Amino acid sequence: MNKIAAVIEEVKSKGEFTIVKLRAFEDSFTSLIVQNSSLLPFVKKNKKVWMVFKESEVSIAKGECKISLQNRFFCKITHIEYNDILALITLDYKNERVMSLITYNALRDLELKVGDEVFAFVKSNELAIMEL
Amino acid sequence: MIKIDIKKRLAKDLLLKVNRVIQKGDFLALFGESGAGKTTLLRILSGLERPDEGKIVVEGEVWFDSQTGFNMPVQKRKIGFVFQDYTLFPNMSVYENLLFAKNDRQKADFLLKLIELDKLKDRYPHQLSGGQKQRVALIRALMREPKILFLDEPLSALDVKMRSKLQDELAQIHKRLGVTTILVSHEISEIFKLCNKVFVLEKGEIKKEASPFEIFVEAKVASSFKFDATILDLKEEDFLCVLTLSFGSNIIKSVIPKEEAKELKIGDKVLVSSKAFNPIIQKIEF
Repeated sequence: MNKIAAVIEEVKSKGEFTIVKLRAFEDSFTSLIVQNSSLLPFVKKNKKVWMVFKESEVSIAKGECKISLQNRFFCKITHIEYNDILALITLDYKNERVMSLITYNALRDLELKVGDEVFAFVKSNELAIMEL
Repeated sequence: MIKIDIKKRLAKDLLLKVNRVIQKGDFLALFGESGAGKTTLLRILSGLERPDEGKIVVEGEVWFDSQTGFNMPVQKRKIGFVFQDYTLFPNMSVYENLLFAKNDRQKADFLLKLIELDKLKDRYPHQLSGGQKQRVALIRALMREPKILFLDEPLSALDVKMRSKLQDELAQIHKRLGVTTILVSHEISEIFKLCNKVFVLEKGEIKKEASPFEIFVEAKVASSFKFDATILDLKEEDFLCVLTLSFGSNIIKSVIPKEEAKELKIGDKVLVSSKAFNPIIQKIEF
């Protein structure tokens, strides 16, 4: 489980859906929640929370690319473990540790290696918010 | 049903104030920091300490009433006690220890069988392991068919493996006999395994009353797909760990990095959560 501390900047609800804008370091993130914010007592503006997401939901891109994903942050690869099928990549995001689980094929295609600078992505609906 | 409505001044700035109902058959945890009043509350219920005012009614029977001045003495109250340190009589065998609590051989034989210690009934406490002593202490507390069983950190002197085994046994016994039980414990996993209800005690007052799940995990994650599960199996695959989890009658698998699995073991309760978008829904056709 990846965990990054962030501050809530904006909470917008419509019926059953809530979109939450967060800031961690200089980057902005969004989280989409299926629940009206009135039922989420700790999801309030200016509140410090954890952003939580699975390793398998972190995608990696090398170089610039246009993409619909809102949550994009610049990282450096610090460690790679792999077998024939999967690769677990450890990233440094402003001294926070983030892990990404991708296929071995993807690791090979992107020619990823320790020291590479990459963009990490998480879909808004994969980003959960947890009370800090 | 146990009705407690008592007050007792513990210190100049600390008033123990409890007004609660415990249902028959509850396995209740008293949870809170040292000095919050947990042990005092147990001592008041057992009659070892007298409240300043209030009333205690257990299954329709008055145990304490400050208005009439009635205070049922400790030996008349049908209670069982298990403390952290084994309190068996060293000069009596296991069997004699049980019969001393109540001279009922049938009951003693039944309880010994229940915890599979019937072969050790002629042994003396010094011939038993720590876990065995504590199990004997537990069934001795059950000899008098208590209306309330008090467990004050009963397993904290035991090693992790023995503790886990005894927790299972306690859960089994509770399921079988249904004795209303009040446990003082600092261990969240223990409370999870055993209790259906928790009183959170802070500075003499019960600040929260809810299930362990609600107290310790719920409301902390904003995700719509959430349940508590038990770990059935952990299988390491290179840098990953595949968990097999059961919840209700369902079994699911989930994958986490091996490093995260370090704190987990078979039998642990875990909270499984996911965002509401993830599950794929398909109509089941008959």
